[in-house]
Formats: sequence, structure tokens, C-alpha cells
Amino acid sequence: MNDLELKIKGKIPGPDTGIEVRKSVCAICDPGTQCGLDLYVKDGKIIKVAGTKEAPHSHGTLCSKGAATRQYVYSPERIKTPLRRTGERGSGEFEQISWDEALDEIASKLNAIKKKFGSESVMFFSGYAKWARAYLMRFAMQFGSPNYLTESSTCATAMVMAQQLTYGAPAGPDFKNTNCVVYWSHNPSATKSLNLKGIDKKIESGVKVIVIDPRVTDLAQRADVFLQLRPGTDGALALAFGHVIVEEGLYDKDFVANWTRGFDEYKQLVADMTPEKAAEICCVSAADIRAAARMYAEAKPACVHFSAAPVVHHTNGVQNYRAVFCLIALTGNLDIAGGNRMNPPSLVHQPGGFPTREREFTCASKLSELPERIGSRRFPVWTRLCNEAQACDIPRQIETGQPYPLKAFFALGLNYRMFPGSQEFIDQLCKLDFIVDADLFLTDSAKYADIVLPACSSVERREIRCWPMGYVQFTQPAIEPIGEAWSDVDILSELSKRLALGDELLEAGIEACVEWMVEPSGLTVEELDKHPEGMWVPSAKPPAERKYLNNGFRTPSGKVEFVSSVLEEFEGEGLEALPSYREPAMSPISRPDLADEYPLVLNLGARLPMFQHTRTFRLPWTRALSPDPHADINPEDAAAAGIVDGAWMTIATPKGKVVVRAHVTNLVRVGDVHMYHDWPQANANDLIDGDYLDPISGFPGYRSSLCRIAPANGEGKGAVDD
Amino acid sequence: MENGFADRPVVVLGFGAAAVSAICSLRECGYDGPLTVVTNAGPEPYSPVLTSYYAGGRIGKEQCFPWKDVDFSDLIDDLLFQQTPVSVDFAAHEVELVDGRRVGYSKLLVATGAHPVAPGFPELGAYRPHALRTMEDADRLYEALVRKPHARVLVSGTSMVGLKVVEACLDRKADVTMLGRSPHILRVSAHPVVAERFEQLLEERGVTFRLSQAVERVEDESDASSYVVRFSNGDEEEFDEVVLAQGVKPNLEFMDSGSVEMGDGLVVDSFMRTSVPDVFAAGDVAQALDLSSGKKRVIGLWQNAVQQGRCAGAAIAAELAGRVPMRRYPGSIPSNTIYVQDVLFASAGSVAESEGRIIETITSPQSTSVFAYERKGSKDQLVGFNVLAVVSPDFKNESLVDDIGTYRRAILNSYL
Amino acid sequence: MTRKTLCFDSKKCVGCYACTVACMDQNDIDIVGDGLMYRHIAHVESKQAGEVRIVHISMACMHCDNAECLDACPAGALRRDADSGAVFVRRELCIGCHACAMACPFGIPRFGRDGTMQKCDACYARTRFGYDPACVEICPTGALSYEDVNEATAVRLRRFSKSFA
Repeated sequence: MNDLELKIKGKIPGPDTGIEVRKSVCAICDPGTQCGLDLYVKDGKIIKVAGTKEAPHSHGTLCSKGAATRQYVYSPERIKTPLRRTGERGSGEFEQISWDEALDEIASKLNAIKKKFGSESVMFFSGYAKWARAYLMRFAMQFGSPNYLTESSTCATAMVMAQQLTYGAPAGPDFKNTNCVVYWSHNPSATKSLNLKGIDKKIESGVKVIVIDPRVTDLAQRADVFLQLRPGTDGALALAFGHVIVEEGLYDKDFVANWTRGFDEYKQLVADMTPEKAAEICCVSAADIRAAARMYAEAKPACVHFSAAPVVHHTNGVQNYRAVFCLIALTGNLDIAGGNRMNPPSLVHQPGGFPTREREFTCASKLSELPERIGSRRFPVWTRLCNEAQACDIPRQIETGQPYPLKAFFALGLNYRMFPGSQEFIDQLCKLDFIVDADLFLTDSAKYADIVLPACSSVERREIRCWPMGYVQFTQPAIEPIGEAWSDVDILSELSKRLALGDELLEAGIEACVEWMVEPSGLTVEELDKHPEGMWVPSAKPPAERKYLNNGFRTPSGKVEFVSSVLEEFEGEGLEALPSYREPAMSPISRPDLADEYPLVLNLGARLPMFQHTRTFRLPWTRALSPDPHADINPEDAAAAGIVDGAWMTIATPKGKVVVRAHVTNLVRVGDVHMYHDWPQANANDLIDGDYLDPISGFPGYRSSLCRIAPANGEGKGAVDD
Repeated sequence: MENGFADRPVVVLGFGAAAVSAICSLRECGYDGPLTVVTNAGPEPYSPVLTSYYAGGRIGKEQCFPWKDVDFSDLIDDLLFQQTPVSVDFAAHEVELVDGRRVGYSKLLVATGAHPVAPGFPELGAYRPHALRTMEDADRLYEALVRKPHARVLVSGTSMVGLKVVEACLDRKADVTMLGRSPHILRVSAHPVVAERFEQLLEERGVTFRLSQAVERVEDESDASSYVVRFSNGDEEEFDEVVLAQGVKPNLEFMDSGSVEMGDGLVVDSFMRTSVPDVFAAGDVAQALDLSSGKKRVIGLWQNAVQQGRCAGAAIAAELAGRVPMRRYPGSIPSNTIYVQDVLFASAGSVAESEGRIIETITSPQSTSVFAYERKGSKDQLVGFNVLAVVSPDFKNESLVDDIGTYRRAILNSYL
Repeated sequence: MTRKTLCFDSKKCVGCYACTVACMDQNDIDIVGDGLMYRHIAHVESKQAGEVRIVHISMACMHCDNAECLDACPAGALRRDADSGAVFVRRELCIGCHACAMACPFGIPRFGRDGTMQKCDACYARTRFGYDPACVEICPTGALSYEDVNEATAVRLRRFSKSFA
């Protein structure tokens, strides 16, 4: 091979090879990562991807999901044109139609429904993708519907609520400046591998590490203390931490005296939760609890690295995490360098250190003028704290028509298997008059839509993203859209014209919207466009410490609330103002009657590094790494059930049964079954009821219920091969 | 060198894998003196392993020359091709060639390879049966198979070479019969259970077997384009071509067995030195260490030839530079892979049944494998294996096939 | 130019598979068709005195100094790149005889539907021009690196010398 042939083989960019590197962001997992993508483009086609070296967060690396971008973008399952359903809902039978036809039909149907049933009968839903949510919420508000909902009804929001209830706003770990970090249910090996280099360096430098996880993780192996607790008992463990810290006088007395509400009640609460008692509940050693509590309390500054879903996917999830977050205040680690710091988001849920008008852009203020939202009676705390409607209440409201009937569902992405009792969810959705879904792929959920719209992936569109260190990027499309795909914002913009919403800004398109949103920061689209790879924001400032000294906390009392004044209002409805520990509603302890038949704890939702929900299931490169649905079980449980590694087994709950491969591993506790979720042929989320929910957040109790396992005996094997 | 031959060239007899490897190694090790190569073939070295692929039409003739990228004129000073040595005068350090020339050497490497033999096969009159070793053999077989479609071919011998001929014949849609004296094919390397399965699979792919049989007589048909063969069981059958693949013998006719230690081949030490000073041997003529038996014997394998050639070249370079040779040939074990259509057979070590050996057989719809273990200390040590597998197009059943290298390594580790 | 070499540090590997997929992307591996993965991850679990450990190993061709596959190939299909030392296969010359598979102690050579061998070539077509191999370029933890052999030795010795501290 000559040099040019070799360069072409090596995919070396340059004028001689005709390969150009274009910059974008990966939005496959979103938004805590948004890694920089280098797209090697030749003749208009991506021929290779790599990480963007200058990306401040990902430093030129990607994970296995981002590495598979090419198959994500060029998947043969991409929707090429707008589609109109011709067969039964779910059948996947569609006819191709033009964009004009599709948008006209959507506009006329939505306006007709609005006229007949009121605008609140139309739901506006965002699937996993985060980037267009502000636009969608604005669209819903302009349409006049309070029912802007997202799949965050089962992810992240409850964690935010636990912090809002406790100290008003989320406070992220300041890892860089800390002496001690508590990883409370966080496994970056599977979800945020790009963070590992920094973690590794920090550990090498001697930072203390405490890991709390029901599974042995890579991080757990490097921890000074690892507490492998029983799923769903985080609250008890956190209260025991509080017990040690209070008992030994390790708390920040000044902070507690001046900036907290209800310390005496909290003191009483934790007095009861001795490490010995918690050790029994959580199945860890009392000595380890004491050691960890002291380590965290004495290391100041120390931070808690929390995560979006694991702790709040319990029927007592919000209170469990509240108990954890109370520790941050108790030790005075709140809003200080090296502790947990409040850093408001600038764009797409990410803090950028610069002011924007994204929140104003959503027109959330209109909510107060609109009818009540879905879930507001059943989950009033959610409605109080969050601008969205609670999607887990959709099936009930469709079924009962209370407090008003729902008629239409407009979605930018939908995966009905995100919801507990998924089948019932989609069955109820089928009763609606009209469903629209914009998506990349003709997913199982999209097959239920009446009109399907082809959406762009991140590399085919423009979007604006920011990073906590004051970096911003307004991407350019790296390639032409696949087929006739449109950017979600273009869809909303065009549709707002046809619905005659009178929203000039949205109609003007994404550049105008971005210009408007970033205006307070001093940025302009003109300036952003000069830096397709992103730029440092001149006006960005690191967040100030102890902002509460001037403004107090954004709680009703202005203080950190051990006793929540919001929850106090709902004590009559069975909620508790203190972060008390309650057993998961289905556990061997709370339901010994059930545990005879279903003796194992079922934990749904552990992650594998090559999958993010279903988003990379259909890519041959990632799928080949883990082709079949499976669950992790301990060798002792496997032996007792007569199951060998790799064999097919059934997981049964009172609700249903799935057939999966057994992965026999010591990484999980004896008595736990960790099932990887979202498999179409073995949907874990169908194993629990649609009303197995946390009463505060409406979040499903995915991470602890009861099950039993048995050899599949040939059952399901054929069905599992899809 | 003290003996007065130091100014003479290093002479390499042969131009196959061992010779080429030795030549490259000599130069890499810093030998920059004169180098003479004598070969009975043409000026370009070829790979005898590839000849059956060429005869069967899988590859072009030009692909049989794997060293096309090597510029031998940089390495060799004098290339005497189509030349045959007739004798070696060890005392005078001279090789006599068939044309009467005498070539003096400082060091001599004998790497002349082997030629096919067919003991017990009757004379065929004017007909010269086929063999498969040299390019000329391959050319002839190629033409024969192309000339007559669906030719009836008798392959005498059930060795690896025999199977390679069968593969070439099947590729050419010939009607092939395999003849062997033993009850099963691959008498040395295959366990009977595996051999029998292999025979079944080959029968399913159109091969006819005549096992435990021999040829008694061959008669030319009147038009002299085919031959009637009478077998030891009394059968008579007509064939268009006969290929002899019963075995090979080292090309050592020019060596005086009285003055150098010889068995089947030239006995060598771990630096490929024969019993005669300044004379080395490598490849199919060298009787080197067989790790599995601990004895020295010829194991005619490409990889052995390459590695032996490399060691010989390094040793020659070292001795000429007045250094002690360092690169030892560690010895080897018999190992083979052969593909016939979609059937792969791989073997290494020995799977022969013997006292104290544990033989494990694994059979699946797609494969039959045999593993032989010997008790060493407290452990059962792998000493040989056969893997026979139908490798399907979706290669889902290849796990045993994928592991052949690790099995071979396990056997080697037990000896090293 | 000093010789560089592919290095792997199991202490840093978390088994995320980024290397595996980046390799398939670089090499246009048609995994549902004829393509095979060149790089694999092994997750090795152990349990000693009640403590569970897991180690992840990213593996592909080792590009051995004494590559037995090179010696075993009778077709001249296996070559060593003089610049990088990478052992690579020229599939157009491969006859599929499996001699390399028999020679390789790691089970690296694999064969596609066309019968020819496929394996990692250490991205010699990238390293030639100063680019890292795709697996190294993407590795989020730095477990895989492409280093100057002297630097790699220095790192190893620094690690070793800690035992005297």
C-alpha cells in the first residue's frame, strides 16, 4: 500500500484523503455527559467517530455508546419520511406521507380536540432526549395545555425534589476540591466512564472514598469503606450516619443552629436509628457504618456524589435521599468548596456559570393560569415542586377521565417501557383519539402513533449545550439529515405556525430562540457560530460559596429543613415531614407473607456500559456485546435454584414473569436479583404494578420488590431470540 | 575461523522456507560476507504448501511465491538455480554439483527439503503418476484436473498431503477416491474415532474411500488416457489420474551417511548443527527435537522449517563472527491443520491410545474432538488433541476451533 | 522516531467496551455480516476471604516479538510492519489454512465467512502518521495507551520501585 492508501485505511483526515473532521455532541446519554464528538466525514458521510480533544468534559474520549454513533445515525431502522398509520395501533403498518400532509393533519386534529375538549386534554411529552425540552414546554404552554410531561417522571426529578424539600435546590458534589467523597449509588464504570480518569487521579492523591451500593463496583473496590446495603434501605443507613454524627458531636453546630429547621426532631429521629439497628436493616456491619460516618463528618470539606434514579426508585425513595441530603447540611458541607454546591443550570439542565433565559423561555409562569396538571391530586408535592405533570398518573386519568378526559398525546420520543406496568400504560394510551410521535427509529412505542415524524440525531441538527466550567457549544449539523428527518425544534417551530399559536420567537427558529435565551450572558449566535467546536464563555463565573448567607435557602423557611414545611402540609394525607425510614412496600420484611413465595429482592434498572435504556439496543456493535436480556444473581441463589451461569431462567413476581439469561456473579448480594431493563422480549418494568409508586414523587419502586427465580426449562428461549 | 575456509561463502542448499528464513536471519544477525544458494528449482522461492491451492484453482500461480516482496539480490550473492548437489566433501568444505562444479563453503546449510515416495506402488508403465510437492507437480496436476472435467482420480495415501490433493480435486469437481492401507485415514495424527467421522464427512462431500486396501496392478487402457486399477480385494476400477501421496523422504541422496550422523534426516543439536563441523541442517531434512517423545526426528512442518532456518542462520552468523550462538531451537510437537471444503481438522501432540493415557471424546452434531491426557504429578496434562469440525457459514460452532492454539500451547507448556 | 508500543493497565480498565466498539468503527466491522471483533473484554471475578474482586482485561492481538503466527503462515499473508512492529494480515493472500490459529497461544486469529483470517493490526495505518490506535484514542480511563517504549519501561520501573518505599 502506498501512503495515500494507508492514510485512507487509517482514516487520516486531510485534503489528500478528503476526510474532514466536524464537531458535534453525543446525545445518546444525556445530559450529564454530552461528550464532544469528532465526526470524520468523507463525501458527506460519517466514516469514523472519535472524541473531541478540546471538549472540556470528555477530553477526547467516548464510551462504547458514543463510539457506536455511526450505527446510531445510519441505522436501517431510522424513519425516513413522515408516516400515517394504516394498520392497528402497534402493528407497525404505515404509509409514507409528506411533511405538509403530516403537519396539516396534526395541526387540524390538535386544534379540533382543543376546541372540543379543552387544550388540557392534549399531552405534550418528551422522551429521553433532553435538548428540546425547553422548546416543547414553551410549545405546550402556548398551546394552553398544562400537561407538559417527560420521561423524567421516572428519572432524576425525585432526586431533585428530595433536595428541594431539604434545601431548596440541587447541590452537586464539588469533587475537585474535596477531601472525601461518598458515592451514594453511583457506578461510573457503566454510566459515566469519562469521569473515571479524574476519579482515579483524585483517589491516587489520597481523597477518602466511601461507596454505598448494593453491588460490588469498580469504585467499591477502591473505597476506604464500602457498604453493600440491601436495596431500598438507604434511608436507614443515612439516619444511622446521622446518629453517629450527632452522638459524637461531629456536626457543624453553627450551621445547624443558624440555618436549619427541625434539628431537635431530627435528633430524636436519628437517636432511634443506632448503627446496630441500621446494620440489621441494611445488612452491613455497624462498625463500617460508624467508620464511614466519622470519615465523612471529619474530612471537611466532604461531598456526596448522588445519582439520578437508583435511590429514588423505591417506594420511600424521596425520603431515603432526603435522609442522605440532610447529612450534607448536618456536617456543614452545603454550598462550600469541596462540599455540595448549588450551581443553577444555564442550559439543558447543566450549570454553565453564566445567566440565560432558558427558564423564562419555557413560559412556565403560564402554569398558574392553566387547569390542574395530570397527577396533581395524587402527587401534590410533585406538582408543588416541579413544572411538569407526573406521567405515571396518565393511565389512571385516561381510565377514569378524572379530573378531566385526556384525548391526545404529542411526543418527541416515547418509550412506554420506561413506565411501571408498561403494558397497562400503552393499553390506556391506545384509548386516546390521537397520538403523534417524532422519533429516530420506528420503535415499538412509535408503532402506536397515528402520525410518526422522522427526527434528526444530534449530528444532523443544531443544538446548544454548556458545561459547568463555563464552556458553551452551539453545534452545526455535521451531515445532511437522514431521509427527510427534521430537528425537533424545526418540527415545533413549523407546527406552531400551523396551529397559529402566535409565538413569533418559536416561529423564527432555533437561532432566534438561542439568541434570546443566551442574551443575558452577553453571548450572540454570531459569536457562537465562529466556534463550532465550542468556546469558553467570557462572562462565566464559578459559583459563589455560601450563597445562602445573602439569600437564604429556597425553602419555605429559608433554611435547610430537616422537618419539611412542604411535607408538613400533607401530613394529613399520610406523608411525613421528617425523613423517616420506611421499608420498601414489597420487601422480605414488609411483606413476609409474600416472601414465602417470592423470597428474593428484585432490583430493576442496573446498567450495562454499552446500553442507555434502549437507545443502543438496535446497533449491531453494542448489541453484539450483550445480545440477550439477562439478570445478575449470586452463586448461592443460583445453586439453590439449580441455575448455572448463562442458562435461561424465569423471574416471576406476583405481577408477571420474564425469561432471561442468568449471569451468576459474586458482585451482587445473596438474595438479590438485578435485572437489566427495557428489553422488548423481557420487559422488567412489566414485573411491577403501575401503582407501585412513591407517594411523594410518583416514582416507581423499580429497585426493590419481590421475586423468585427458576430454571426456564426450555421455556421462552425461542421467544427470546428476536 | 582458524581452518582456512573463512573467506569462502556460506552455502545454502535449498531455497524453501527453511533456506529463506536462514538467509534472512543470517543477514539480520549481521553476516555480510558472501552467500551462495543452490536450488534445484527456479530462481524464485515458492511455498510447497500452496501448490494444492493452486492446483485446485483457489489461488493463482503467482500467489505461490510468498516472498515476492523480498529482494533476494540484496541478500544472496550467487544464486545457482536448477542445480543439484551430488556430494559434499566435508574435509575440503566443498559441495559438488551435478554439472561437476565444486563450490567451497565456510558454513554449509542443508535445507534441501523432501520428495514424495510411494513404496509398494506398482509400476504404471509409461504413465508417470502425479505427486504434489513442487511447482512442476502442481502445474501438471492443475492441467490434468482442468483438461478433463469430472476426472476420476485415485489418491494413494491418506496423509495430510493426500487430503490436500482431495481438496484440490473436489475444488475441480473431480471424482476422487482415496486409497489407504490402514483402516482409517491420517493414521499418525488422527484418533480412529475422529478419523472415522472425518471419512463420513468426506463421503458426504463426494469422496470415495478404499481403506485397508492396496493396489495390485495397473493396466493402461487401449487409448492410454485412463487406467484400470486392480485392488487387493479383487475390485477393478477405471481412473483418469493417479496421485501418489503416501509420504515424503528428505532430499539427502548427496550426503554420505557414513560420515555424518543420520537417521531419516540429519541429526542436529539445538543450534541446527549436524555432527560434522560447519554443516547445519534445517527444515524437512533436519532431525530435531520432538518435545513429545524427547527423541530427535523429522517433523516436516512449515513453521518448524521457518524457526529452524532462523536458528541456523543465527548460529552460522554467530560462529562466523566468533561468538557463541544464542538462539536455540526449542523443539516442537507435531501439529497440523487441514481444511477440506467446510471441514476443518486440527491436531497437535499425540492422541495415540497407550497405557496410562486418558482419552476424552467430545462429539456434537457439528464436531468430533479427542483430547489425550497423561498424569504428571497430581495433574492430568494435555498431551494431544484432535478437533474435527464442520465450520458453518455463520460460524456459531467454532468455539473448539477457536481454541486450537491454546490447546497446542497447553501441550507445549507441559514439555517446556 | 522511537518505537512506540500498545500498553494496557488492568488497574485502570473498567471494562466499558469503548475500545471494542471504537475498533469496530475504525475497521468498518460488519458484525452481523462477515466481520469479527478484534478486541475483547474479559471480566475476571475472584473471591478471597469473603472479599469479591473484579478485574477487567481488554485484549486483542499481542503483536508478539516472537510472533509464532508469522512463522506459521505458509502463504506470506502475515506481515510485520517495520515502522510500528504491528503484525497484520493481508487477507487477499490468506488461504484460510488455520496454521496461524494453531500457532497463536491466545486464540486471536479468527476467520470470516470468506474463510480468511481477521485480527487487530494495531492501527499501523494510523500510527504511521502519528495518530494513536482507535482503541487507545477513545479509552476513557487511560487503561490503553500507545507509548514510547522507553516511557513505558520508565512507568513500569516507577511502579516497581514503589515496593522499596
